[in-house]
Amino acid sequence: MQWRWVVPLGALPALHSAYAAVYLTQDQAQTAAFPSASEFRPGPTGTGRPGLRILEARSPSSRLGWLLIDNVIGRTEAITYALALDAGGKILALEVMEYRETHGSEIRLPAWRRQFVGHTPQSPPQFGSDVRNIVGATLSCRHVTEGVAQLLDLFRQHLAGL
Amino acid sequence: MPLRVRARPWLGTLVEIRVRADAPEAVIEAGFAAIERVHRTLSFHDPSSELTHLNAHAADGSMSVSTLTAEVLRAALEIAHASDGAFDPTCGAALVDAGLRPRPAALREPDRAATWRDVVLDHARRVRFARPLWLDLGGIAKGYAVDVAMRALRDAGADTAVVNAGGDLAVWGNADAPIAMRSADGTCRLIDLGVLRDGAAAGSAVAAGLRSHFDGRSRAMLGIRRAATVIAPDCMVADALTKVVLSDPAAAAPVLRRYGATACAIEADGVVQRWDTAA
Repeated sequence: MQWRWVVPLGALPALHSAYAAVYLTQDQAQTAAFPSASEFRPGPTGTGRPGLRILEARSPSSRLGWLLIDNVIGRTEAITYALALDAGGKILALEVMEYRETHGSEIRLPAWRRQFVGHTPQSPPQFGSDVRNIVGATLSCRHVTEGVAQLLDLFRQHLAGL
Repeated sequence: MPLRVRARPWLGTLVEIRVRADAPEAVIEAGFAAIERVHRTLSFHDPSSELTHLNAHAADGSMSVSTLTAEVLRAALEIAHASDGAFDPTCGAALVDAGLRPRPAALREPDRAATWRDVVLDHARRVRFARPLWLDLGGIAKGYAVDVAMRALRDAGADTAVVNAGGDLAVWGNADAPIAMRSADGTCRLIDLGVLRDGAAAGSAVAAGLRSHFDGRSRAMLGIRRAATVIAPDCMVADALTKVVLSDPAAAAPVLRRYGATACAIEADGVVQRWDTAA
């Protein structure tokens, strides 16, 4: 183990920043969930869930499953995630595509949001050398669990019979 | 070689795994599978977890547990002993009473006076509670999951990896992990701490509305605002020792020294305390 503290006693170099990261683009999420798919067709609209993107993953001869790209916003976090289901509705994968801390109303402030414009998996937000490892950041993913339950209901209502 | 990263929701938080960009997908899957195993085994909420079975029945007689549960429980009891109960994995009832955990259905009422001393784990991996109690390994399981994932990644052939479970992290191989710390004053202020190689870090903050911690001995909620970070050879120890530093900083030094750990605590007014006890 190699470690040397840089924080000096009584003097704290500090900046204000929130945690934000992009993990997967839509293309990367599609490939990760359905590596053998030859095509992704837009799925049905009109499911009543704002912001939800539905993609049907296909091989040349059959349906492989569905990729549902959804957002959840909680008290402290805003998350874009991808839920991959096989044709029968069984969960194949659940990946977080993007995570942003919100701390209540801050997410609506353009100045706060501007920090994250242009960040991609190849150029994540920088802090000193890197913002990624914030100890004690208490990042929450609870709302993803609720979102997944709602998407499974949605599958039964809108996709299972197609 | 650059690293690539994947993130999935486990342990109530965001778990990130970084490996070399050319590492096979199966390596990342092995890491997440390990996290999932720890989550399912040690969940306090899940009625089918091994932890829930213990809480339901271990006061009635000895129960055999998995090597996973035995490993983390043995470490938890040892740290409880070393810290004289400042870290105590039997505070499940206090957490439920304070509304920080949902009340588990179908569990017998625990004895509110029970402590870690009422948990017996023998060398044959049998667990018995001397009185009814609710184990909650939330103060150590996240760090343990990070360690188990790191082992799985190495077993799967990774030569470089970073595992980060909501701020409890381990670094191994050819990776530098710059570490920052969240201040305890409720803002998003970050403090640059340094760069970690081949080690682990964990942090906790006590701040209004963010997270609540208990003093293991008094079972009273910590009313202070303080952020603590512990650097240790493994993440399970780092995770548990943050609770010792938060609840009893005056007594933390010998416990940190025993585990080869160093720590930093920052009060809401900006006062910094450091323990540089590692060899």
